[in-house]
Amino acid sequence: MESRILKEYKDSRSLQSQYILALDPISTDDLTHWECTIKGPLHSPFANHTFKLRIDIPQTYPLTTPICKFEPFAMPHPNVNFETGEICLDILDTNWSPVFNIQYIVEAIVWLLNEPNFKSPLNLDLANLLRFDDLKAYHDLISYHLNNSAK
Amino acid sequence: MSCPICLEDLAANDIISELKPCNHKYHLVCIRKWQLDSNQLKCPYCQCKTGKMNLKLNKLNSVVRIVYDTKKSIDDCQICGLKDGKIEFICDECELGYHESCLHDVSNDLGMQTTWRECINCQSEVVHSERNSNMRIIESFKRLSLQDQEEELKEVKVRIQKHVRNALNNYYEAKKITSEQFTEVNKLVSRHLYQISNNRYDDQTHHYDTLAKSRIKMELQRLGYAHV
Repeated sequence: MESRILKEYKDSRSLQSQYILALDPISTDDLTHWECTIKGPLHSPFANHTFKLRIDIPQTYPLTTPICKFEPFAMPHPNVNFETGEICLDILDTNWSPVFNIQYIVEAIVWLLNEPNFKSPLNLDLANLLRFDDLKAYHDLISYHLNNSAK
Repeated sequence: MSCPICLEDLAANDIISELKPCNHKYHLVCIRKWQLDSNQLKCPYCQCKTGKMNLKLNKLNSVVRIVYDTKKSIDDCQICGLKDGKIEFICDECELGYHESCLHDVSNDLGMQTTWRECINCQSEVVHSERNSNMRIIESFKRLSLQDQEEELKEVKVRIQKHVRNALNNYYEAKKITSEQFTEVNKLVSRHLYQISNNRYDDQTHHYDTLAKSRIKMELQRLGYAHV
């Protein structure tokens, strides 16, 4: 596990991505805790905002999935628990595969911002707006939360 | 090329497993760990269902074909039907699993407390086991690979002996040695050749024909069989 995470760390030094602004271990002495800053995708209600992710790598990685959360941000998204930042994403659960890596997970989370899934909600209010196709209310509620917490 | 699980190189000395039908390659250790941990046989890379793998065993310079033994899951208790991963007894005959407490319950109900260690299907004795279906995969895998190694070794011996027999035939056809002498020398020389080539057939390093010839000469002289 250690050598794998070390390799990922080295690869992450040369990482260039439109939406991943930073992807670093909290301390270089311990590569099991990472912090990541992502940019909201264009044409999504999250555009022009940045979000922080906390990634904890378990000892059994890559056989088991890293634990990813939005932190410390109260994140308004149908598949994110507003209070805890917990993310519901298939590859972080049953569809995990050891060939995925930290960068792939972060990219999947960015993608999730653009493609919310109301079928596995952690935020029922937003999921219901999406389910009934009330996109205006969906966008407005997200902007309201985002602007509120920015202040 | 590197293993997608540990990201280390798939080096020539490693045992490499190539999943079938997708041909994606992993270290055997890595893919086994994942299969046992996730309890599934999908390829981590392309998610296709795999039922076989080819193993490259560099020690024997060969490829071993392994078919997973996924016959039956013995995860659930045949009496209570629960799939709680706590199966304590297994009937090897019908590959069925039981909880110890459930077996006791049944035998108590039947008033035959002493015969609780019986498969309710075939009445043969159940064996205590921590084995689950995963362990079975590994066991069958071990069996298969051992068998293949033996076959591999046999083939190596046959190929080496061919050189020795060829060389010895010259003496036999010229009636310099009898057939018993032929067998005896063949045995001695072949054994020597297996040893020096480390039980592998490697005609790049060893020139078997020359080696066989000179060794045969030596043995024949030592045994006083033929004047050469």
